[in-house]
Amino acid sequence: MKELIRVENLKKHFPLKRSLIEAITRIPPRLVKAVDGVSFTIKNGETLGLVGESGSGKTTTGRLILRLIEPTNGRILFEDKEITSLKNEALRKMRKDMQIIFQDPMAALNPYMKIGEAVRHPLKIHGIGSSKKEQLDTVYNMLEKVNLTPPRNFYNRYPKELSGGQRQRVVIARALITNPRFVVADEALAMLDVSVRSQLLQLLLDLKNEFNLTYLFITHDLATTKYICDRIIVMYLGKIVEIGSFDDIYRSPAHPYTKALISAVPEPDPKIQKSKKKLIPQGEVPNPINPPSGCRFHPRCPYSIKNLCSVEEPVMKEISDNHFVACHLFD
Amino acid sequence: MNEVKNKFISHHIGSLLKEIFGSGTGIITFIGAAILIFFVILAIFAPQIAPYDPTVRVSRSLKPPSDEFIFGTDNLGRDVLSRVIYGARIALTIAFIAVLIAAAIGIPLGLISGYIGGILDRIITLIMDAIYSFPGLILAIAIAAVLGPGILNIAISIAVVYAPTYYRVIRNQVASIKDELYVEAARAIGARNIVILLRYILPNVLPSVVVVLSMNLADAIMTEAGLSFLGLGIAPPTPDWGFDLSNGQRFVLSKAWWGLLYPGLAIITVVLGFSMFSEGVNEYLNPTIKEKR
Amino acid sequence: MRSEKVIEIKNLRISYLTRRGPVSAVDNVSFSIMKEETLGLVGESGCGKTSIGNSILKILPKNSSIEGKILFEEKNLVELGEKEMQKIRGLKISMIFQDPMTSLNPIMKLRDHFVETIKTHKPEISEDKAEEMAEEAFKAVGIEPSRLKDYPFQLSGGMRQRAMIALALVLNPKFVIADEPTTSLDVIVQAQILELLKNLKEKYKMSIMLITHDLGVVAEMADRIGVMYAGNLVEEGLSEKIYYEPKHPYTEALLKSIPNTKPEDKKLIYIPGNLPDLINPPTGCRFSPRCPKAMKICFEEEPPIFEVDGSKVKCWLYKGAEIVENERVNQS
Repeated sequence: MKELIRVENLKKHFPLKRSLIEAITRIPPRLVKAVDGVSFTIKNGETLGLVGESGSGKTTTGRLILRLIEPTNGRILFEDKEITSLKNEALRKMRKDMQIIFQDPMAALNPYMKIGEAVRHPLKIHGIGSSKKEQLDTVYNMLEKVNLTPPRNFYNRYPKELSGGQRQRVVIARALITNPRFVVADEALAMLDVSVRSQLLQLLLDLKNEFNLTYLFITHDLATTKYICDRIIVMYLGKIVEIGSFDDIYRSPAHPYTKALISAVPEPDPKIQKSKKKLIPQGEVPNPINPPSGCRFHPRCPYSIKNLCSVEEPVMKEISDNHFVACHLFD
Repeated sequence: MNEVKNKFISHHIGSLLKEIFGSGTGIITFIGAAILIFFVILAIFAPQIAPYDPTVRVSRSLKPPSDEFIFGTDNLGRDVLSRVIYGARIALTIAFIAVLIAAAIGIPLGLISGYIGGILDRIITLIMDAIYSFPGLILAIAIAAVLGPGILNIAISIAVVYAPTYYRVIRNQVASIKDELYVEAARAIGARNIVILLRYILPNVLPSVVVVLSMNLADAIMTEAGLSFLGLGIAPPTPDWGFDLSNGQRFVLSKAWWGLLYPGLAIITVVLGFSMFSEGVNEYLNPTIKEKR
Repeated sequence: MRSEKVIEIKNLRISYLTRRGPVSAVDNVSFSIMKEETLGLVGESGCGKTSIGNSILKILPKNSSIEGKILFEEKNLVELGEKEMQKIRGLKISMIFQDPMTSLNPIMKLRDHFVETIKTHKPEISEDKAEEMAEEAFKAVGIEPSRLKDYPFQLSGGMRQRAMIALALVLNPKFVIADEPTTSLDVIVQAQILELLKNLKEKYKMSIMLITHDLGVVAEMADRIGVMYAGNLVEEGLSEKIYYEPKHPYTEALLKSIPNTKPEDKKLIYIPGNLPDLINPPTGCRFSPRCPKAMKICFEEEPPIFEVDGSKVKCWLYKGAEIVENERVNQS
């Protein structure tokens, strides 16, 4: 498989507001290191899962790749072409090929824009379709594909007249109308109800096959990744701790954090539930302004090695075919 | 928004009315709307409704109200009723023009300032705040004195006073709306800034413009009357409530109360009508009061 | 030990008056919770589970109306006035909310939250004693007592939820309503909080009503499960019964549509259609338009509640089984 996206040493540091005294005394602003040097590739046609808790930097990573926020450092390549420094018009044109599905569909839709217009807008912006009729046909087609039928009925409705699941279908339709190559799904199912969630997951899978899409599937919910993800990246405090195929991560997780994450997923089966051994680390994700030295997980890690984990940052090692982990246990 | 609303006298009147009527905003809005429609009809059909030509002597001076002249006549023997009816034309015309000019200055500046931010934003905000901090009538007097009489000039003097209220409301809302997810979504589909501003941000700030607009109309009428009262308004003999009011009060001592009472009542009624109506509009468009479902 | 009912809900109906008309959010729901038992109330958004929780404490919004009985300590809470309810809230029944940030006063120190709660119900307790109790409660939920001096925003999300739990339990209520207590938390913190709740339940010997949309969370905590759909309690039974032998087609579909933790099981099953509009709920069974097993009667008549194999099921599939409760009899 060919590589579609390559990310090299990507960093995003958000400066914090300084107090008046700090500004006068010229103390440099403190930084929130939301994403702190991540590198990975996404192959054409695959779905890469980006998993982590809040504060892991997964959402920031998705937005960085789409150039919705400016990286502090690093490179982003799309089909071997560097897009890190694209400006204005070139950047705008690129957006046709790279799209995003947001977590909160109500907030992602302009409340004063009919949903049909919202879906048609990308066509207008990029001048796709020669006539209004042609554009309308494309929109009707797409609304039908996301199961908003009959599409003509839905075209003139406003977001507030739809249910949560229907709104998310609109957001998906808008993202796919320009026939993009790459789609970031940022917690796209998190706010939906269980029964609707599976419906939309199926829709995302169907659309992926139909349009030959490549997904970056950002989620905090490990359980859903198994239906859609080929490979998974686990992030913790702005760093990647483990990369592997779905089976690697699920069946033989290597990093202690990945193990904790998997064992924390609530189990609906009461029998498995009772027999399951839980490895729940103490405490919570530390503040990314002052991340721990060495391995960022070491203060919570049950296997932490003295004088090593707290001092030296672990590097990525390949422990089996295409299964990478950043942990001193595998030195 | 609330801080801006406090600038309007009509807002205070509206709140007071709400206190009096309890929470019966529906009734307030309805009465307000009825008053407004009544005055708009008066203004449009003044030639058909008014019994006499308002600028011509039709009787002897200062005739008290009678069957012939219901509101009496003024010191120049003109029919007060006809002058009050024609006066609605001037009052409403100037108020509407003033409000439109104020909106035409305040809204685009607010949009640009809020969206772009930075130095430009700071400069425009500084100028607007300087104007805003002046007492309205005094500023209008100063400008009207420089520009001289005339419908458009008065409208401009009033517009300058109220443009900052639009600016403030729009700027602050844009500054917060530009961080909304749907604006980011618009960027993600590749929309240009101007498109984002007009199609994604503007429709979302318009409801608050409508609220300011309706309150602004009442205040514009009062300011206009104030200017005319001080002799800075329309040149006589054009019928004008403010001018007639100041003219009428000179003869109150000679027991001719009707020259003062009727133009005054007209001003009070129309301002009350706008205040009531704007209070209703405000309630209807205010999202915090709206039902959450 | 478990035979004593702590709370009993009978034919509860809750509706909200909206601009579009009345919404029947909870429709004729009856269940009870035993001493030291955890009942999980599961359902999707809009199924009425939160309305039930709020109705017990009588903290429903103004546009709501409520019918039926909520029996607690031989009193019908539905009929109690605000003054009497205040004596119950926090002392005998308390609530843990989804978002502690919005239910704690941001400008009050945590210590003051505790002192206020304690003093409201037990004015005879001195401030020093109240503070001592707060410290005890903080220790019980695993927070340093010194953090009582902090404001709510100074705590992390998980700590805040712990503080909220400590506050709910400080007067040792016999019944606790936990409304989505872990929904806004990350998985690892969620696991920590669930563990904590389980331990505290043992320690304080209380009954819990756990309201959640997450069947996994329920399975961790609950002895019995009530499944809600569109304002109806469609099935109620022991946790293992519900999981291994679901009776109602909705329960069955819901269980199949949630992701399990078995990596090899990748088949995606979902319930077609949308949740009904509760202003015009479907006639007959409310699930009938989406039900794969719907029969003619399902579209025409509302099913009564049948007792099948120890579970209670509101479904016509079990016609012939013993009827626990008949809709029309109770209405008249």
